Amino acid sequence: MAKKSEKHTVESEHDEQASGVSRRNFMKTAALGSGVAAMGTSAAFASVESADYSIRVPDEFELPQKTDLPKIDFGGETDRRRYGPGVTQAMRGADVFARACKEEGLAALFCCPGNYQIVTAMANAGIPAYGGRTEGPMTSAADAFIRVTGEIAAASGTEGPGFTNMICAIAAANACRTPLLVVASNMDQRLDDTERGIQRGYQQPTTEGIKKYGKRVVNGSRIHEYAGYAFRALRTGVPGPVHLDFTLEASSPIFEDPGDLDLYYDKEHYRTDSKPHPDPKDIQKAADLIKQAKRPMIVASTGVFYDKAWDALLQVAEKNQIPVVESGPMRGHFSDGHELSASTAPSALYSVDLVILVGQYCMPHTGEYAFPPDARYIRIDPGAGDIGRNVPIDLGIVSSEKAALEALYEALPEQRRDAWVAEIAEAREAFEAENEEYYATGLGFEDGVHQAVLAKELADFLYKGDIPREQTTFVAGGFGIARYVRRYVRAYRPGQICNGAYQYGSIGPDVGYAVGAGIAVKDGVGPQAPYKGAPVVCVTGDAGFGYSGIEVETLAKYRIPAIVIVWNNNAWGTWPGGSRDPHVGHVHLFQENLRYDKMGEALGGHGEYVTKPGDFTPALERAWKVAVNENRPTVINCQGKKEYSTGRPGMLGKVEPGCMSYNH
Amino acid sequence: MTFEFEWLFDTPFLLEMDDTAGTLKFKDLLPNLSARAPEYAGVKDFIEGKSNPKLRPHRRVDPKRAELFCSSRAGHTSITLKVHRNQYAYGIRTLLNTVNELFGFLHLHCVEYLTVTFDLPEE
Repeated sequence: MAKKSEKHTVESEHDEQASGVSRRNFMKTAALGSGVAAMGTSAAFASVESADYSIRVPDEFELPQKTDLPKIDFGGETDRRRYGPGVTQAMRGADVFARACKEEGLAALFCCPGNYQIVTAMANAGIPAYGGRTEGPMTSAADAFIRVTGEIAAASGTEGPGFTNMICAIAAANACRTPLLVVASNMDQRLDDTERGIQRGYQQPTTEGIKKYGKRVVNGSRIHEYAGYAFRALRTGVPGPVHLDFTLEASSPIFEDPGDLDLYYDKEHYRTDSKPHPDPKDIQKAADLIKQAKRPMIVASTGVFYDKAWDALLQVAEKNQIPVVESGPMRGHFSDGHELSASTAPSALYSVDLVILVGQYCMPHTGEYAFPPDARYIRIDPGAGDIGRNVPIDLGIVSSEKAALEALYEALPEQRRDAWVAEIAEAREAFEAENEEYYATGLGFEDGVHQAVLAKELADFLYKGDIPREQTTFVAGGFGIARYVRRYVRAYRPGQICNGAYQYGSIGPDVGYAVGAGIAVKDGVGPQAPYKGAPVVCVTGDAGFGYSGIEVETLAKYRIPAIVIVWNNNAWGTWPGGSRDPHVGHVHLFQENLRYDKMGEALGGHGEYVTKPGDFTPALERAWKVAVNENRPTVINCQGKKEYSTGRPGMLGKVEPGCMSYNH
Repeated sequence: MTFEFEWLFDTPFLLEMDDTAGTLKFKDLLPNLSARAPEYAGVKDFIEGKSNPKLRPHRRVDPKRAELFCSSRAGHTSITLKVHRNQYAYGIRTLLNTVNELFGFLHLHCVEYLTVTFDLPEE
């Protein structure tokens, strides 16, 4: 088993006396060690004596593709001054962790500067790394990346304020049950509670209640072991965020030999891919309930996506003619174009007599879903501990979603439910007719772009024109505008819609989500593979843009072809209620006619300002060309009015589950 | 006889059963919704439409078994189901499902009323 090495040392980034390594030196030597030296030591640090102040993307953005990854291994060179091509670098604690992440297939890292050792180690291990402007939206980017790919990604922040900037986004990911790996540096344990220097603080208590698992890793010899803890939590059961913070005692030590590490064995031995399968008796009971039901409906939720159960779902639905409605923080695991899709048939929900919840991790409370109070419930979930929470069930099945659906397929007979399917179709038609009415009403507002006009014309552009309808990955952000947009946008394949801030209800992560979804499509990860390089679209409001709009710069510098549509109504969505009191109404307002499009241009993107309904589609077409031809983002600033949220149709409500749903 | 339902909101709903009159009534189900309120016409149409013979049987209030109507008094709206021939089991199920569907209608079309009256979060 492991034997302790006497050679491992701790390098303190904040104690230059101990080792001569400061934060500045670390970055310099790490950069040299990564192969920049190949370009000549002066190139990276020479001043630019050009009078050209046009926006440009620095050459360093191309280096990861042009530079070989460094060799890092046990017994490697410990003196950073000797790093260079052909030199195998020493394996530090951070490198051990990064290697474990790479072997687990960690698909991307989203970060801001800080947590240098872990971030550099991950990048040097070949995990694609993306740096943004603020930790919160970059954590949201990781969340969205995972929600549209099903692959695990990481978000990183530095100790103290960098980490606390991530809290809202971690909480949102927790509500979404996103398997997000959160990593942060956390000073050194030996000086705990001294307030020496800056940025000291305990992190784990801060994420209490908003993570699935967390650990402050303080011992370098156990860093691989805790990678195992992290990935067992990320890859099994109901997913959720995992938060690890690393002290220097964990990330810095050099390991000469694998035997220096505790419990150093690989993922084949530290976890299993085995999943729970249903009890055949429970499947038979479910099949009996389904056969007896006149109007059953499957609610296909989060677990269907993460368990990649969409094919099994389709088979069950078609064999027994069971309509399917979606819920969850992502959409598309049952196509809105299928005749059995009920996601755009809200009036049919009141007819359901049997609800089959599959992978519904974020459970609604009684009455939050529109189903009749006398409907019966089957719930399929990997965790027995949650079955029966909030809504009483008639049958609970503990199983992975895919295994349960496959077993149901075998147990169910072929069955026709033509009258029920016809009712679903009528309900869809009634919903579309209502949407057309809203659009016709919206066109009557000539002094700005009404929400219904934005939503319908966007949907027509994405699904009814030359673009294949299943191509465009969409971020459904915003609040008031989302009440309209969700009625019109559609999902035809897995991972096509990232369903906004979901249950946590935060305002403003949307441009961060666009970064994550954009990178997922740009790199063709998971179900985004057939659409690699295609533009992505995000809708947000002016309130939301205020939180994460700066990340348009991130979109621009990574050449992500994203179109960010800002519905600018000069106010927070809370204005209709807030305006009732004259002493506080101003709190809900912004200046009128602000130019977010110019902000997009100033950050390296393209900008469009649309003030009339007839100008929206042409602006969208121009933005699409910029995306396709230049791989540059666009901000389309659609000028509306806050008054459009009052009167008719005004602020719309929603019914859950289905396309309008974002609470559960 | 009065039953209290804690159901769709934090505010309990009171169901009054009068077996002499054969009625089940959610009294003041919609507070602060008078007959003059703009939302009242929509609610009335919805309630009256539940007996439309064009509706599918499982969504329709069968006039042979019960009658459904709404009424406004002292600025509040009540929903009443008058059952025929003591068909209370049918009546309760129908009334509860109708109220569930009514609030779905309000969620879609009268969300401001729900926000103000039932303290529904605006988000």
